[in-house]
Parts: sequence; structure tokens; C-alpha cells
Amino acid sequence: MTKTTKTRRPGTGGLQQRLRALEGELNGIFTAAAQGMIIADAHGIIRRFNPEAEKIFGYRADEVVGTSLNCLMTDRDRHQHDTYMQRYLKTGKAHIIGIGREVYGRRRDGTEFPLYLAVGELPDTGGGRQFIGILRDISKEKAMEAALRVSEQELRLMIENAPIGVITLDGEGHVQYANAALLRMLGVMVDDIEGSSFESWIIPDDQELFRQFRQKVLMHRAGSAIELRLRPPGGELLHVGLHGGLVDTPLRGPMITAHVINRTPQVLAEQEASAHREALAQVDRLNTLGEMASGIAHEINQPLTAIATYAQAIRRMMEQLPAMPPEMHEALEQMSTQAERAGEIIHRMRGYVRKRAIAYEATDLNECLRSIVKLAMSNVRENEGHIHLELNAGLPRVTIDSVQIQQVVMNLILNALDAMKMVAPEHRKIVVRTHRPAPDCVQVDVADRGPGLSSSVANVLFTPFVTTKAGGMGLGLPISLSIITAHGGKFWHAPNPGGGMCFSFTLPVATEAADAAL
Amino acid sequence: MQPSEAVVYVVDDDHSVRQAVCMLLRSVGYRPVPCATAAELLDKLQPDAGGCIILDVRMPGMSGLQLQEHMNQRQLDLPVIFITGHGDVDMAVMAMKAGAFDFLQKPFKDQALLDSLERALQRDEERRQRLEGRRRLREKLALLTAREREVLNGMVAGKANKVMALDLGLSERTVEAHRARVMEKMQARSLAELVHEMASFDNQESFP
Repeated sequence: MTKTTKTRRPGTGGLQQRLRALEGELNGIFTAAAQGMIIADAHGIIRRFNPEAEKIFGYRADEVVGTSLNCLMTDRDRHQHDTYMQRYLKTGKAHIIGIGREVYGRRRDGTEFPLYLAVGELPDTGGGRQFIGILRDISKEKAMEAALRVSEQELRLMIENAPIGVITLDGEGHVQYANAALLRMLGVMVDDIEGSSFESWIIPDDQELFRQFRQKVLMHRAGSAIELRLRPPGGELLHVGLHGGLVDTPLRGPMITAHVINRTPQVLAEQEASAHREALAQVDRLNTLGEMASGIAHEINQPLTAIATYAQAIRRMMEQLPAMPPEMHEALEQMSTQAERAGEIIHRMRGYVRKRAIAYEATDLNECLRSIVKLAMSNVRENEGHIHLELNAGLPRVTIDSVQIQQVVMNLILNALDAMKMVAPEHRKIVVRTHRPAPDCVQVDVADRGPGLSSSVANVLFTPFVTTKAGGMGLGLPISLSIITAHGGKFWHAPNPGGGMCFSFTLPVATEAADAAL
Repeated sequence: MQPSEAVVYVVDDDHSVRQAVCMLLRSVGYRPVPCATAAELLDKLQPDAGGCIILDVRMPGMSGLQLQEHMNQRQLDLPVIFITGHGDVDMAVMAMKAGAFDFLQKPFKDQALLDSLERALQRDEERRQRLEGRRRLREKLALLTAREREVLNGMVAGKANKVMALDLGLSERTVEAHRARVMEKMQARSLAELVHEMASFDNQESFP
């Protein structure tokens, strides 16, 4: 069709033909356009209504042509339309013509919908002024936009109110965004942190670590995690875990976004546990040394005693004989003297090692046990055994060195776990129990479900350097016995009713408490 | 008591120590009874005979301290001399509190052990004499009639015959006769001796 119009030269006869062709082309456009097109006159009477407009409004062209545009408009727009039109006709100033704007339309079924409308005036060809409106139903776009806005808002709310800290840093390491949890964690207001260099919140020792983290994320575009210590102004030291990655933003270039988890309570608990472990290990070393010295002293003192006493006995017997050579007397005397001297050396050595500080303090025994059991369990894998606490809540305080008592209980728990290695995992149960068998003492039981002890093992249980464990020193129970004895308590063992062994010890209760109980 | 009469129990799980100590004791005339364990001692112990126990603190099975406690409970009152390879102050205090006679650190001087043993046996002898005296007193008291017992109580309380006669509703002559029989049955040479004998046991045992 276009080909024809272009190849024909304009002429009088051809003009008619050309106009017809043009009209045909316009009709074609009008019909095929993917946009609604409505032509109306200055009175707002619809002259033409294309198929797309039919689709948009739900009217057939023959229903609306010749009627007012009003039926296509909302009440509010209808009023404004009249105002606009009159103003335009009067002043020639268009507010909508040639510009396009978003307005609301009304479908045949009465539903209103957003549409994008551009209006133009058609040249007056004698039939009066005519206007063409080109319009598009934008309700889908609008709905999508709204949904996008909502989801964006939701996302923002989620990040803002996430229970972990979220932070965004620009390429230079300045804070672009920090969520509420992070602000709470640091105890600051949003203005204190946004725009600041994140490095300035990190303690100097950890700043280099953070620089390496940033470099790794920015250069290698790889996610990375670090542990940092932060020091907010005037606040407590914070141990945080920071896990971040790279985000390329169209406006602000590469940024690091990271979540920040406050690990301070765990780190402090770990530090406390490790200090506790260290204190126990220290006491353990001293006790082991002391018990070794004690054990060696005992072992060596026995033969020394025998030597000295044999010599003395012989000397006394020979003195009763008629003639005893003075040299022999002297030699036997020396034998016993030297043996005693060796004994003295051992006693001195032992006294030196034994000098360890025992810190007696009024202690809540249950608390003391809870803390050591917690520590013990932190070193025990799930299937190695379970510890059940059966603590009598009404116990009086006892005057003890809690670290020493904890060492005893730890030792008993480890023995119990060892004893139960041959038992099926589901039966590996240890009970740690406290009770008060008499007014003047409290009792601790550590009962296991192991195979129990043969009488030959039970007889030498407290003998130093005798062990059933590969690599064992054979000092655990002798040390425990020494500790409990030093506390004025008793230490014993008995078969656990229902299988296994039960080790028990008592600790004396301070007199006033015992009297009060009576 | 002569050394030869005293039974000295030597309790130590170490054979050589046990043997050496027994040999030393024999060399000065004692009669040692070696025991390897607390159980063996309890088995061999003759509680009524005099003697002394030399006991190692640390032994497998029942320890020396446990043994002493056991003996305390069963009122086996023989004096105990502890010998120990590790002379803890704590342990010595505990042993002494539990009624030990002495506490010697191994290796010990023979003279220290013998001196301690001598004192222990002396104390045991005294204890036995007290026991014997009490037993004899009880025998003598058993010979008295109820009336004579009443008169005895009056005599010990320092009452004159006249007062007793009044108290008991008897004639003074009858009281005098009872009094003479009491002195005879109690084998007392004087009133002072009788009062002394009664008083020395009064605080230990109430008489029927």
C-alpha cells in the first residue's frame, strides 16, 4: 500500500486516489494498533473507537460511537475532563495534549483501571475540531510495580529487623548501611556509624585481618568469613563473626555486604572454660607430682625401713653375744643411720613438692559439680556417654577447695567413661548424685554402668602406680583419695545396684550447719 | 608386765618391714605377732590379753586408719602406734584424733619405736589393771546382800552408824554388824581404802 503512494506522482486525479489510500492506511493503523485509539469531537462525543479500545474498555465501537466520552471515565476524571476541555478550547493551553499522563478509565463492567493516555488534536477537516486519544491499559504494570514495591519493602524490613547484624560497605570500606540489630549490638545510632570507616570500629590488633578480608572479597570476588573484635566508643569489647561477600551495584559500584553475629557470650564462655581447664590442669600437674613423690617416698621408705630395722635388730642381738667386734657394731649402727638419712632426704623432697596452696572456701557443692560436669561434657562426644545430675537442692554449703574437688569428680567421670567403653553406647550412662546421709556430711556418688571391678583390681585401686589403663600413671584414684582425706572426708567404692561401679565420697559440713540440721 | 609377756602385733603389708620389725622386737624380748593385713590382725587379735599394735597407715584393703576406726567401734582398746612412709601432718592429726598412741615416720630409729612401745604397753597395763580392778570390785560387790549394799552406800557417803540406823530403821548394833561384814567381803583394811576404791570407779561405771 505504501509502495503505491510513493510511486504515484501527485496530480489532480491522483489526489482523490491518494486521499483514499491515506484513509485506508490510517484505517489500517487504527484497526491494527496495539494501543487503544479514540477520536472524539470538542463536545466529547466519540467518533471513532478502535478494536484495541474495545478490548480495553469492554464496549463494542457501535455501542459508544456517538455517545459521550464520559462513560469511559471515572467520576473524578469526568469532571476534570470537562474543565480541561473548556479551558483548552478557551485558552488553547493543553495540559494533557502531546504530553501523556496516567489517568483512570472505567470499563463497561464498572471496574476502574489505570491507563496511560496521550491526547492530540487532529487537523480540522471541516467536520469541526477533533481530538484523538491514544491509550494503554497499564493496570498490569501498575500491579507489578506495586508488588515489586511491597516485596522490596518486605525485604528491607526483613534485613532491617533481622536478628543478626547486617552491614553494607562501599569499595572504600565506609559503612553504607547498618541494620537495627547491628546498631543494637554496637549500642549506637544510625548516624554514628553510617558513612564512618568500618575499620575504625575494629580494635587495632584486628584491623590488618579486616584489610586482608576486604582485599580478598574485592580482588578475588570471593565470600569470606572472619572473627573480629569491635570496640564501640564507651562500650564493651565485642567478639563478632563477620561473613561477607561482594555485590555489584549499578549506582555505587562493588560493595561488600556482610552479616555480623555477636559471638561475645560464647567467646567469653569458651575463655572461661579454657581458664577453668587450665586451672584444673595446673592442679592436676601439682597433684600428680605430689602423689608421685608421695608414692615414691612410700615405696622407697619401705625397703629403707627394712634395712635400718634389720641392722638395728642384728646390732641388738650381737650385743648380747660375749664378744662383739667394735667395728661391726659401728658398721651396723652406720647402716641404720644412713638408711634414716636417705629417708630424711625423701621426706624433705616430698614436703617441698607437697607445698601447694589449698584454697578452702564455703562453696555450693551442686554449683561446683554442675560446672565440672559441663566442662567434662564439652570434651565428650555424644556417643561416649551421658551424665545425669541428681543433685539434692537442700545441701548446706561445704568448706572445700572447689578446684580440687572438681578434679576428683572429673577423674571419676573419666574413669567411668573409660569403664563403659565396652558397653553399648545407649547404656553409657553416668549418674552424679549429691545427698546428705548424715547431718555432719554431704555425699557425692559417681555411678557408672560399666562392667564393674574384679576383686583383684578393687584391692589395688588406691595403690599408686598401679593402673589398668594403657598409658595411665595409676595416680588418679590415689590423688582423689588424698584430696578427699585432706578435706576430712571418706572415699570408697561399691558395686552400683543394677550393674557397674559407684564411687562415693563425703565432705564434712561446717559445724553450725550440722547443728542447725539437728 | 615384762616385755616377754606382752603381745605386740606388727601389721604391715611389706614382708621385709614386717620381718625386720619383728626381729627387732624379739631382740629385746618381746613376742611379736606379724600380720600382713588388717583382716589378719582382726583374726589373730586377743582383745583381753595385754599388748600393743604397730600399724602401717597405708595398706591395701582396709587402711590403718580404717582399721583403727573399726577397732574403736568394737571397743578394742589396745594402743596403736602408727608407722607411715609419708608423714603427713594431716594424717598424723587424724590418727591422733582417732585415738592413736603415737605416730612414727618411716624409717624410724629403733630406740624411738622401742621407747614408744614401752610407754604404750605401760598404758595398756594400766588400762588392764583398771579393768581388772573394776572386775574384782564388781565380784566383791556381788557378794553383798541388799542390806549390806545400803550400808556400804552410807559408809561411802560418810554417814555415822547412828544416822544409818535411823535411815534404815535398824538398831545401831545391827548396822555395826553389817558394816563389819561389808569390810570383810570388800577385803578393805580401812574405811579410807574402801572409799578410795569405790570413788576411783564411780566416774567410769555406775554400780547396780
